[in-house]
Amino acid sequence: MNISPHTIALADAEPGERLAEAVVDDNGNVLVGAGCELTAGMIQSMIRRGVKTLCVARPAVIDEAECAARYERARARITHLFRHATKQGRLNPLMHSVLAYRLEGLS
Amino acid sequence: MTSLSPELVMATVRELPALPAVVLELIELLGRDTVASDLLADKISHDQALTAKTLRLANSSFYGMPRKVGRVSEAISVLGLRTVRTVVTAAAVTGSFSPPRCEGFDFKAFWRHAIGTAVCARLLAAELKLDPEAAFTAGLLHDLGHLVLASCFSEQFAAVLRHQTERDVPCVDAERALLGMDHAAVGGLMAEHWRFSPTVVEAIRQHHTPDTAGAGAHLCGLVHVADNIAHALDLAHAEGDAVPVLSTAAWMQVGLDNPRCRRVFEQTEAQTEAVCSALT
Repeated sequence: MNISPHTIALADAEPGERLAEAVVDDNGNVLVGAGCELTAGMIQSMIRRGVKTLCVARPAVIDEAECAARYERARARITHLFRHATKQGRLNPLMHSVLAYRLEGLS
Repeated sequence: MTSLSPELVMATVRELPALPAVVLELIELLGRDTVASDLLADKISHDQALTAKTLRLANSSFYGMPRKVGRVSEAISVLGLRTVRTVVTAAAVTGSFSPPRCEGFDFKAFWRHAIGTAVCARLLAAELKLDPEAAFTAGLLHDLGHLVLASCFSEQFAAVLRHQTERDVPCVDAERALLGMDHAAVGGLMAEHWRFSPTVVEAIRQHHTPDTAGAGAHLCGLVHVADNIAHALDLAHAEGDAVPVLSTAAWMQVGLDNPRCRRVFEQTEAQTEAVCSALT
């Protein structure tokens, strides 16, 4: 799964989410380190300290068109790599395994 | 264009810089079990560049050591002598060639592919209960002939690479057409010159023709499949890369079902990065 950093309002943060970047106060002091899993207590504490936004790691949202484009690029590259190995209609079990591995999650 | 002959190749490789004496000694000792490890650790430690590279690879995530080691003798006590011999050999071989001045030859892609094949061969050896150290070494050196051709016969090899690109033919076809010899044969001669075991030499020499291999057919088939997988996973990041024709017999011998195949692909990709960072 693709994970990417998302800046969100503190009010939208949920316990269990992971911080992609450290939360710092106005003086640059680290309140919560990057990689920490948020708890309800941490969120309340940050509200009290006036934190407005934070950066959490969430699954990247890929739209259908982008997903289809990635699928096509991966399939085309594998077909290109196997151009000699599959000449004259040769069957290639490795090509099928690599296609399944690369295209999983893109269709 | 002048065709190459085994005699001409041998005469030329003798002119190449030799591997450090301690590495040649290690290669000769690869098949033996009783070796004075303290003495070897001491000899290796006299070569500072070799020691630094050896420790970098030994401490990489590829070997997953429980603690960081700072000396070759410590690496031997944690990883074992056989593994450290492989590590030292890899460190020495990757350090023994400078980037050749050969038009069209991609030195970085060459090592990425070699390391990917070595990593994959080691994983396959573990699946098949074969010697993982011989598999890693043969995988690392399987395309050594390309490096020898690019270093010693740079003009002829540049013409081969041009021919290959213009006609989009497999590299062995271009080499045989223009040079009368292919990189597998050249690599076999070089490995023989360095006195690698006959099994490793055969695996290098026959990695494109595993079906006709002799006594070392298992290792040969394994390196053939590892080479195919490394090309198929695009590990070299080379635009014109191509997967060679797969030997069905070698593929059947390795016998990867879907879950094991997936595991080998994932681990090959992850571990190749770790070894490339340590060796290149």
